[in-house]
Amino acid sequence: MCFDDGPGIRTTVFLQGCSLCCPWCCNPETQRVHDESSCDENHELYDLDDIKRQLMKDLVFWQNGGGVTLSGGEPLLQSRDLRELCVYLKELNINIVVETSMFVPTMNLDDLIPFVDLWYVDVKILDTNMCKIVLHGDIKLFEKNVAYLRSKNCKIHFRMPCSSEYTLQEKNWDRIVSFLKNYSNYPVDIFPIHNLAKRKYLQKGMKYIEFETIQADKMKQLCQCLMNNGINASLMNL
Amino acid sequence: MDNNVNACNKQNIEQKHDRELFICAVSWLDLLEQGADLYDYFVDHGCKSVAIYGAGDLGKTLLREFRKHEGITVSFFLDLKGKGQAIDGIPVYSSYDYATLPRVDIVVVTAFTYFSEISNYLLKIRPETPVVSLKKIIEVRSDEVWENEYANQQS
Amino acid sequence: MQISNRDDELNMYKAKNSAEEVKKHEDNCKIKSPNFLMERAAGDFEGCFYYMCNDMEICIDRGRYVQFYDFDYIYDPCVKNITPAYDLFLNNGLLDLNYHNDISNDLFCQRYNSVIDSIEILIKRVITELSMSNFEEREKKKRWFSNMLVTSAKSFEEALQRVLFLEQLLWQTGSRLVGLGRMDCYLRPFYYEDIKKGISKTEIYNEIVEFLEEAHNYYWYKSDVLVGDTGQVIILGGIEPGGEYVFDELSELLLEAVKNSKKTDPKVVLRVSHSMPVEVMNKAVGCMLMGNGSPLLSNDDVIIPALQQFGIKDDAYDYTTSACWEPLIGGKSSSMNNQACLSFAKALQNMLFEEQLDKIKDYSTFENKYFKYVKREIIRCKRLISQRRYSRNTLYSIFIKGCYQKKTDIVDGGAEYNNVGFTTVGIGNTVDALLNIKEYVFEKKELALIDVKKVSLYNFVGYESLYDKLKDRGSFFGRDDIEITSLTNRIMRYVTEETKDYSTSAAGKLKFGISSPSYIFESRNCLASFDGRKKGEPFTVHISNEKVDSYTELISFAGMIDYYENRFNGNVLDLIFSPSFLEKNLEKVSLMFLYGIEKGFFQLQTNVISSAVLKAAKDHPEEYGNLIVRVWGFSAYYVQLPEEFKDLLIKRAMENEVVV
Repeated sequence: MCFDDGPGIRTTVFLQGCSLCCPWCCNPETQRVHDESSCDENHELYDLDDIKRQLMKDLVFWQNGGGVTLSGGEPLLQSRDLRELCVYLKELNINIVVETSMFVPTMNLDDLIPFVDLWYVDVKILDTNMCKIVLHGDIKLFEKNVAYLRSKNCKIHFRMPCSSEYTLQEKNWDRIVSFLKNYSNYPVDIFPIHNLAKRKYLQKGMKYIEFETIQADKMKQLCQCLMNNGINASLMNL
Repeated sequence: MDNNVNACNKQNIEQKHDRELFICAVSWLDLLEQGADLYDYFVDHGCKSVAIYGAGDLGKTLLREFRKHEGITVSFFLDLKGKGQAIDGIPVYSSYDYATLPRVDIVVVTAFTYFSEISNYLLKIRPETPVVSLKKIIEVRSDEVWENEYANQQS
Repeated sequence: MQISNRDDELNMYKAKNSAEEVKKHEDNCKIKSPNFLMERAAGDFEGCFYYMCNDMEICIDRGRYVQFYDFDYIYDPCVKNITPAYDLFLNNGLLDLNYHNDISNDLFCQRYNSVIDSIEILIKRVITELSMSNFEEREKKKRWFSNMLVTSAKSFEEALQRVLFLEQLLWQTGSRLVGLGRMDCYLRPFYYEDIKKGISKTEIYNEIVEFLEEAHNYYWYKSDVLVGDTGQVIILGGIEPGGEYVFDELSELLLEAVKNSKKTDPKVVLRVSHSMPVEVMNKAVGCMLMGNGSPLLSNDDVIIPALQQFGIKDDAYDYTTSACWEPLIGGKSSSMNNQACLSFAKALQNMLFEEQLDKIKDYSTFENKYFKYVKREIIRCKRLISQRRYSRNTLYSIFIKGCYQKKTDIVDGGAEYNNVGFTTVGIGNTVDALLNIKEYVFEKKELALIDVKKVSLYNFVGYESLYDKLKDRGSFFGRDDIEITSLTNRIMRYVTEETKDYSTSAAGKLKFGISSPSYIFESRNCLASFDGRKKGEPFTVHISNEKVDSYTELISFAGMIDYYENRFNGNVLDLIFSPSFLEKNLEKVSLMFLYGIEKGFFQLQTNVISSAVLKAAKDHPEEYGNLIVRVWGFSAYYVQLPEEFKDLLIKRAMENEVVV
């Protein structure tokens, strides 16, 4: 259950497996692909019917625009299986939101485009080299996919985690501004990276890097800077 | 000063136990008067053999209850002081010998004041054998008999 | 040194102190109420009451209402947790309530009339005192009090004075946890009458605010077990017999006044239904955000049918609650709803220590045996209830419907409803423990039952990794899973099975619920349990969220529990919210509660707290005197709570902040 991941009251499905490795990831247990050892007792392997059954328990709560949010991990890595789930949900007219980093094969998008009501797209590291080194991702793929979504008239909502160590590095920030200028009609939420997941990392014996928390004033400045460039940006409270 | 406090505490504890003992004895008397006794508890718990901790008056009275019925054997008494004696043909052993004694289905502790210490000691040696206080058995039986009585009155 | 009597003591005192101090001391030693005390020692209620009315000090101050307590005239604590019939007093003159025919043959009727005579004396004394005072509005107040004797209340303000006066008499005679009942209902005629007369809503709002202040006064005296546990509950809103949900502008004013009072007392229970307007729920959540613990939501859609199935027909629509949450029919019921407490955890502990565990080979045998131990606890509760005796309370008998007709005192079954409630504790811990035992012992066979016993015995020493594992997996209880809900229902239905045929001496039936104030008291002597709870740690608080990561799942769980037959004596979802979360998501939370009503939760209360603030308040109590929290079913000033209650709230708030 979640109140932040889209309109109304939402139930979020966290999918296992992600091609990136963002240092600030708040669900690190979902990063690895097909590795049962990373599924602790609280995260069992579900088959589709299980998921449907679990989700339907919350049906009552989705009145007034609520619905299901697919998150992760990277949900689009499992777009084939999710397509079936989406068909099922759409038959019941349930609102579907996807949270994605967009580092996936473009054909995966096609699986879900007909069903998804809103795409939350992360904007993180757009500098080509940094992207490769820090995230192990190909920025070309990201740009291509976002453009593809736009061409299909999908509703996109950008989200940008801010950290002085990564996303706010000058080179990267410039790239972000010029990228978002192309999408000035689309809303962008910016928020500081939080240290909420620290306990999780430590519990799982993973290394955790403490992030410098960005002050509210600085966040306001950043937001203003984006707006000055004609970008539809707003601050998100976490 | 400390000694005084200790003595005072000890006195309080003993007074409390005296009171409990009295209430318990009355409940037991009450049960006997109604033609009920503690035996049913042991049948309900599937006990065939019993050890009684405490070879004092309460222990002896409990033994008499078992003698009224057949089917449950009192295997031995345990007592800190009573080594080597026998009561009515039942041997009394020191509680320190518990580990070497044959297994029983339950140990009933008739000593009031130090039940938890005794119970912890015996359970450490044989965790699988239940150790139950006489007080609790009397309470349980007293409640059960009350319940039957009450149900009869209502119907 | 021995002091043989008071004279000696006084002489010694004189020898040592100045004349002035001696005078003060003599005043202190003087018994102000000798006659009263004599009657009290004899247990004569009417005699006591007479002296109280005749002799107690009447203090009139500048306030809008007349309220005076004299702590030299307090009767022994007796009847608890009952709401009187305020409407009886609002709509009649006191003297109308008398028996008018010949009562020379009936002791109850004589006592009844004598108590009314005594109240008459007190009222007349108040009028005299008012005459002697020189406050501006004394004529109005004199009229209020003379009306009290012979006719109904004539205005909203006057009605509130009557409520206050009746409540005061009950508190003064030692009654505890006196509820305020459905205020919007019984005040409604007076409200609309006043509005018709042209009195403004603002004026009425002020009348309410000052009433609430008066009712909050003396909360330290009114408190029962802990400071704040007063039971002064106002019930608002609710379904009418026609099926219509009613929450009108008066209900709104009352809720608004409590919301803005920033005080622990009085508290509000809001009756809710799926048919209620969203705006009302928004107001309720807005009130919760103020952090004074009100309102508790009580789901009419579940409770009314449950009461009806239990045998209470039309009156079910008129239910109020006891001090915390236990539904009862206000003004018609003697249901003291907290007469015994059954511990499910104690039953499991007894079982582990009394059974020959090696003989139990499968889980269903284990569960069936467990029920036998639950039965033992049930019998103990029944016996305790059958042994309860209360001294007569003729005052309450006047203001509880049924006693007059039956000519029988409330404690002897005079009320229209005489059902008795008990509470239960530890069901969450027990359901978790049973499911863990099922999995580890009978399915995975990683452990033997004897290990479960050893865990209790040695408080997890030697089982540290097991402890971590049990802690890590969180709670089953509260998860919407068929195995979990059906186990919970099995246990609850078993209790029904063993209690449904019981009848009290006043032909009352038994009812129970799974919320209890005793989650700390009962847990103190309970050894470690197999849900990952160490020796002496508190039990789970009602149905609560800090170990289940989703509010909706918890609400769905609550909706799967079967509250029918006699299982409706309070079953509360206890949700913790951080203030920032609730503030940000006010409307979504409000919707969630509305959908939760459809899902069928029984009752719901919230604690809007942050662990940081609680910790700061624990360290610097002097700066947080006004911080209010919700404890079992009442609101309390945090800094006045015992340490273990403070610590538990901090722990729960922290768990909540990690999970959500």
